Amino acid sequence: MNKYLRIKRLAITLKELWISNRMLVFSFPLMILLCIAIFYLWPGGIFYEKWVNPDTFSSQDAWLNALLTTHTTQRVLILFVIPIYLVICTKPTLDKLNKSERTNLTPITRLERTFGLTLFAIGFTCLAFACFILYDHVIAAWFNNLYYEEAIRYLEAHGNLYPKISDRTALYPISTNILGVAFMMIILFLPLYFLSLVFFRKNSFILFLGLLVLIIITLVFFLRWLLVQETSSISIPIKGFFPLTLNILLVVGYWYLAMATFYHKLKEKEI
Amino acid sequence: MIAINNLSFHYKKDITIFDNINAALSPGHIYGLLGLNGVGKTTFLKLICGLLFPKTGTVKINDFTPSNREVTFLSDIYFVTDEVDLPPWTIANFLDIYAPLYPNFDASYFDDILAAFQVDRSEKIKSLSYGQRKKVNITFALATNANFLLMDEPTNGLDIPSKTQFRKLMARHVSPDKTIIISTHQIRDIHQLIDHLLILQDSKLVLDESLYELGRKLKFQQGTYADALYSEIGLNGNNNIRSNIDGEESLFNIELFFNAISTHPDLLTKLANSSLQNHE
Repeated sequence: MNKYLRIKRLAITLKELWISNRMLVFSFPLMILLCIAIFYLWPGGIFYEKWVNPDTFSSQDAWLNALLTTHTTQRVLILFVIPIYLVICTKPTLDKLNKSERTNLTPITRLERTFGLTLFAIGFTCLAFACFILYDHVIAAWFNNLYYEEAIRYLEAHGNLYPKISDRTALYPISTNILGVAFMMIILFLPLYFLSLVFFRKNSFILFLGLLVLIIITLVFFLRWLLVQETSSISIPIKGFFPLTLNILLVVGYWYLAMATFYHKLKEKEI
Repeated sequence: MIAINNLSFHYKKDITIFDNINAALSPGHIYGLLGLNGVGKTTFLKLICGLLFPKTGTVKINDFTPSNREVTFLSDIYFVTDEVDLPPWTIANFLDIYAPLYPNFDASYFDDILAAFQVDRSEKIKSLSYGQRKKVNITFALATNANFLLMDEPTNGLDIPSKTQFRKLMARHVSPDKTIIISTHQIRDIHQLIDHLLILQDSKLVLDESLYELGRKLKFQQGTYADALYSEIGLNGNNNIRSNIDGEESLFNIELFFNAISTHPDLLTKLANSSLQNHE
């Protein structure tokens, strides 16, 4: 019975997480907006200088030059507010699974708990990304409306017959590739974070971090040793379907194994 | 039926908590679980409900092994802990979320008990006092109608009228299919409820007997008796425990009996001997 999943109980797990965190979830769009405002209006940034301290730019051309040469793709880092939110939202639940008698005796299986937490985290991440992408597009459209024509005219005036504006400027939203990498990083971080809180009986987070560092150091030393042992090598770059599939399988395998370990750790936990 | 066979448990290998405990707890009774501080009363309850796993031996509840934590089993057991860790939501929210998990949950019974405890359903749990939160937890526990109800110091933090209310509710709640185990130091609060005593001492379950049987073997009298098995000086003279040879009925004084066992463990041997003689 413990390994079966029932939709009703899964829904209760999600409801539990929702009721505990709805204020945090509602506050997220505001937080993202605040982060974006801080990013663009940070003292020293071009928009801060343009709007708060306009005398910095001697002419409109100087401003346009700054706009076209300043890359603002670092704003993708704002997305790392999401894991912070995820930790704040899920840590109380994970702590209860570690310590609370009531939580552990509630008729909900550990599988449902694992699914519930994962679905909540993925759902929240998707919504948070959607929110960020929406803001990013609206702001990029606004900047386009304000400066695009001027920027094109500026480039043409400087002899650029086929003017092209870099997609790393504030006039373009963050590219799908960069967003995809950020999304994958957050999703891959999830099972490690879940595991870090339940892996050891006491001081689990610190001990798990230590274990990870140890594994990484061992791996690095082993790979270095392999490299030193290699006397002659032929490097053949392989591209195509199979290497890609292998990469995907490795990532999916890591994710599945980490989640399965988390589930088994929960199942075997004594309170 | 709770069947405990050869149960041993330790947290650290060199400190034994339980050593080869056997017991069979049948439904229809309220068991009083007594023992000195640190003897393992809460651990015993945790082993029964599957929060801890036996090192050796088995615990079986009906056909379930508690450590498997099967949902059917979990929906038929409720553990009222000493520390109340309810979520900080409103009582109504708490009910909406968790009541559907218990198939026999009785919402109107919940409302009745909560009203008897004088707690408002619309209150937020986090704004309640410790005693009020305890009342909410007890109310929920009773309303689940779980057949196995474990309570660790349930009267801790309850005000005097609530303790009376608690006794009334528990007396009404017990039924032939329910097994209730109450672990407490405040024996006077639940003295009238208990009909079976379990006493833990030195890693053993040294006593597992009904009050009826104990009452047939022992009698409690005030005065001075040379043949008293145990005496304690009280406000109105000595309180004594004597062998009940003549079948005289007396009010069973659990507190005095527990003190006697704690300070004179040999009393249990005497009791066992007297029991054998009675049988002969």
